[in-house]
Amino acid sequence: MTPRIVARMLAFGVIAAYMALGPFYRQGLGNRTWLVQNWVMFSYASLDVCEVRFHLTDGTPIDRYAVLGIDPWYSAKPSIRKLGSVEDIERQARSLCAKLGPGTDLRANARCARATGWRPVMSGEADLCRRRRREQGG
Amino acid sequence: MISLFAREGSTRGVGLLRIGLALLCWTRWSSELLPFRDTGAEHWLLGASFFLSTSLLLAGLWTRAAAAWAAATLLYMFVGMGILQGREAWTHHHTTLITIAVCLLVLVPCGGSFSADRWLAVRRARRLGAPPPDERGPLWAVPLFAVQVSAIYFWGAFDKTSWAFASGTRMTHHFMSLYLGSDPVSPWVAAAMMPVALSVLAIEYGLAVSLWIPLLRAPSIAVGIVFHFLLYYLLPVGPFSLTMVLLYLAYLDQDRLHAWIDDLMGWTPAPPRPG
Repeated sequence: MTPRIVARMLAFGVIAAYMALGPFYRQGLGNRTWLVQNWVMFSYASLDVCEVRFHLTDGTPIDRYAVLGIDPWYSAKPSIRKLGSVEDIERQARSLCAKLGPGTDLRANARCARATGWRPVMSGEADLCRRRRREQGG
Repeated sequence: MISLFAREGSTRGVGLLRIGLALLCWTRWSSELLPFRDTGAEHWLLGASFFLSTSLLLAGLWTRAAAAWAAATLLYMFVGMGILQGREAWTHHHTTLITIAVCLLVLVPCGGSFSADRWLAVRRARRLGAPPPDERGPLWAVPLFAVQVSAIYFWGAFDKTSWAFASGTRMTHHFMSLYLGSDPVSPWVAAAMMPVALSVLAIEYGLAVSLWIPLLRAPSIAVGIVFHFLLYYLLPVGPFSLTMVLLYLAYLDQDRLHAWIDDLMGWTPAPPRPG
């Protein structure tokens, strides 16, 4: 074996080990360093969406697109179609309450995306139109 | 095993890698490095370094030096600006992969084919009345591209190995965030997400290994191309999917690839030289 061959073997071994095993330092052991790569892709993507069911107190589901006059549903602006937080849900509830009329008792069951699954944020216990009525002095 | 580090092979595969990676560099970074984006001297110097080095790399002129220059530029962008100066978008996995692959180009004879260097060598030989040089060079480092791809498949799947992903919940998040919005997904969509997620895991863990097995290589490449096409089409993955498919070239028998290109182009191979 010539010195060149030995050098190639060493270089290959070091580089291959770095690429194949280096991520274990971060992903396997949970360490943080930029010196080795971690191939964490999309684990923290799409955490900006909540699943929301609007309904009345008797359980009647509310089609928010129909109430807001949006047809077809996929023509809705992203800010209407995708609700990413409790604030977004409450904002849309105010719009729905305005369309549904005074005296509406609107509820929502909602859960928001997390890397580990879903996190419940609303359980349908609050009248989402009450805050709007309070603001209007009703 | 030692023969891997001693033998030579066709340079066409690494020539194609060189061209593809230079174009992927432009796809990812060129817009951000145009001179009108910033009037600072550092920006202009960086842009000049990027465009000159990657242009030489694409053309295959002074290729080894161009590869080293491009690799140094991308490493500065990744470490110096991405990590140390907090330009976070330059540290994402797709930019990391392109940077690593360009660094590996320094170790392979990527100017031996489909390059200005090759053209100049052929012209030189013709002037001397000699046969053109063989498109061959030491390919000991080519499997490193494949090691990187397999590592990405394995560790990417490792990261996804959780109930949140395998149950289809995370896939549901992606489709709701990108397409469906906040209305509860229909039961059939929810039911479909779990087999989709399990398929993704199976494909990634499988490809990490199967691409190395000659009997499984062709179907694995077919599965991988379809897989990455779907990711590229449906999710905001950027040039990552294209890079991964390009690097499949490293798994191939380089001399068989050479012969296949000859066949594709209708070229008659030169008779073997005596001795």
